Amino acid sequence: MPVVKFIIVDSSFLIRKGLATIIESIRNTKVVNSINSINELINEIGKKQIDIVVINCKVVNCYNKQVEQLLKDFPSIDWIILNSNNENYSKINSIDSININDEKSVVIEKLEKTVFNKIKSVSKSQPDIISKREKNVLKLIASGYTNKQIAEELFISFNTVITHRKNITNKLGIKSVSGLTVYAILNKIIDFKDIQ
Amino acid sequence: MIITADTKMADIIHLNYYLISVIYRFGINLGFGEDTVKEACKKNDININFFLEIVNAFHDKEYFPQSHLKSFSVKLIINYLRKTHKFYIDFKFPELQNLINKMVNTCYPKSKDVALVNKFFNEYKEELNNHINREEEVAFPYAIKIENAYLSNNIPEELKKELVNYSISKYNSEHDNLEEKPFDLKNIIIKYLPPPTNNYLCSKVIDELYHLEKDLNDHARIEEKVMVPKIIEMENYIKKRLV
Repeated sequence: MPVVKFIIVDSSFLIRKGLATIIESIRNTKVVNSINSINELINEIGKKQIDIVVINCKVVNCYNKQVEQLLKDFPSIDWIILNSNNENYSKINSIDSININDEKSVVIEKLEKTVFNKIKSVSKSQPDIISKREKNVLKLIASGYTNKQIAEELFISFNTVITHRKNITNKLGIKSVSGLTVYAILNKIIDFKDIQ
Repeated sequence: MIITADTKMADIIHLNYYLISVIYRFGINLGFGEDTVKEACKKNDININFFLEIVNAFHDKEYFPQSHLKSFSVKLIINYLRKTHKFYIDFKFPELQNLINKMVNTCYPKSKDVALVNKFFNEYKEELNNHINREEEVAFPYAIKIENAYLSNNIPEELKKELVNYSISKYNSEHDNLEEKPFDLKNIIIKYLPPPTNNYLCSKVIDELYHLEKDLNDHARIEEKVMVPKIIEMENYIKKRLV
């Protein structure tokens, strides 16, 4: 299963900390950063793979232009607005929101829904078993081929090889080449002799 | 909770028992009685600000040192990091290797491919040893040279040249991926090896791997949050003087 990565933007430490705890109680989530200003967000957002930004409504309304630019620049990121009672809703439409006074069950339900949709859109509900194509890629990885050599061997693009590798790692929970080699031998995908 | 000079040593362990091995590395032994951090550090001749910085950084991922930054030297940090490396090389790795050996030889009598796990761990051990050597032979001496230049206000020619090609932030980027292999090994044992004949031994190996993964992460955090920012600050100061 892929992990859904969050950034939290709010000026209050208490809220950031609380939200992070709640978010990480949901399976397959990780809060990679929790920051307190729009400038920091602009700095950080391109650096790492981010799936969801949870952001305070005040920040969104004060820095409308910057936020809209970010929405345009990073179309694959989902946004959740954090509202408090006496504020108007955000000026940007079609974004999910959580109210600071929402009950636990409501908050979790909203977050879970967003996470679930995200995972569905990323993995297209593939089963956790590696496909025939991935098996071929794995065979070559375990035999010591580089990404470029794999692309040439299987007549696919370099980027496709990278995508296959990512999917293999997500499905098996093994990241390193030697780990994948051990898996390949244990499952008779390659023979011990082939790697000598 | 933040650990302070008045916290009792015994309470530190109750707070987070992973800190036992950190405290050992400072040369403090169990049997604290009612001693506070202040008293224990005095008895063992340890810089208290440094001790607090390390245990807090180890204990709390979000702890970010600021105030004590100037009250202890880079040499002190490096001395501590070297001790930690020695602890890994002399105790942790051989211990884990023995355990894995035993697991491979006794838990899976029917599968000869399991011997691969030994090979896998050996490779990993080699990788860690290389990483440690690189730190001790390149990054640490460099850090000490920077500190000397900073303190004495005297920048040797050799260091000027080094400053052009190297920065401590380079070392920082080498740090990635060291916890990748213990993670893989856990999954291989949990998911892909055949069911073992001795569950106890396997769970002990997994337990140790979790511990190692966490310890390595915490160790890296100390290098990144305590040592590196200090060196970067000094590098910037020296570079400014060179212009």
